Amino acid sequence: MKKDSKIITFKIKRWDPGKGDWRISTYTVTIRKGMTILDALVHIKETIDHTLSYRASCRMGICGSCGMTINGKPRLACETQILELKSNTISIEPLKNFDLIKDLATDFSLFFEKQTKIRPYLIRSDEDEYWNPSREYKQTPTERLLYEQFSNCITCGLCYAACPTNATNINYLGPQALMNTYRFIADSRDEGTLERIELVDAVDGIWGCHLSGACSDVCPKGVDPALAIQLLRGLVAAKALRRIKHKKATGVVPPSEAKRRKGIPEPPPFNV
Amino acid sequence: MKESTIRLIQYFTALLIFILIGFHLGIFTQFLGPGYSAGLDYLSVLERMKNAFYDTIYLILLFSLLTHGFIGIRNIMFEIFLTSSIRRIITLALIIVYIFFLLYGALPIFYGVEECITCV
Repeated sequence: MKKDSKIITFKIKRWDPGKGDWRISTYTVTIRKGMTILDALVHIKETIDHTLSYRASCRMGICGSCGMTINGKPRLACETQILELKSNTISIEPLKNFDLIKDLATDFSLFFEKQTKIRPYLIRSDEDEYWNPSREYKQTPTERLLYEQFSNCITCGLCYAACPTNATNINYLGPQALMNTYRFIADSRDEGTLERIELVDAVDGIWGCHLSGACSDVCPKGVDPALAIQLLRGLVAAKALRRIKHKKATGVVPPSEAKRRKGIPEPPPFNV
Repeated sequence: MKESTIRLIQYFTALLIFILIGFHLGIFTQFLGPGYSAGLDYLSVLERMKNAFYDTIYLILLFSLLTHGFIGIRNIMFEIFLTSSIRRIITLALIIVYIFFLLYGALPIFYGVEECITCV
């Protein structure tokens, strides 16, 4: 055996929808340095057990499809290096707090239903401009910084799986939806602050959060949903104290015109 | 009532409890009151009951403790029972129990005042 390879035992907890029960399959795989959990799962499916089901797509931590519970913690399979787990036996389970489809594949319907509920798009009062845009919405780099980290969410559902409130309360909106609510409220181009506050000001909304911080701990993109929920609570409390009123969004500006500097030649004509 | 208003009431009553409990315990020290033993003396308690200032403090403390506690119980119950109809029943039941305890708790304060008036 090569120096940088190792034999690892994978214990995969699989959901059998036919029987409505769990079964544990054990596979032994020789892994090399640099292999991720997803690489191992692909290897198992291609060479050992074709019946193993899981969901994956981009293999580079962008699509957020391959979330699963690895050694007890929600992680992206494509971003988890096997050797970094420092364990000879690795347990893999489907994400918690989600309905199950088969084996490691989970059903995201309720998750996206909650995401849709908070209206994750810009709400504007200028309907004509919104539907028939003639210019750009104005936003300074400083205004963008207010929500930048929250716009990095890839909706992988790891925060939802780690949240203890979601584990006990199916109605709870969850960290992702609440974080996204704040993301749009903090956006200077949005005018839906009051509507969104109405939606989340509930026991099953922001007040259901127990501040465990598990959501921020597991996020593969470094987003801090717990912070967003706290900021959102501050806004909702300010609204209750009548310290917040309808937000007027920034207007539209014409696209900036690119001016060619002197001495720079014209580009060649398009040939395609 | 909106959930945010309920939570603000809970935060506000928590602050009141912190201040008033501090004052309540302070009475049993040499700095604010007659000291621990003398402060617990029956006549000393009656003396305080005669004082409208202390009565007001105790009434506010009673209101704050009950309000804070019952909102807390409601929150816990809401985490156990998720159906909105059951939650409404829980809220109604808790309001009834809350009013009962508020009246029951206020009774000794008012009774103490009356007792002191007759004893003087």
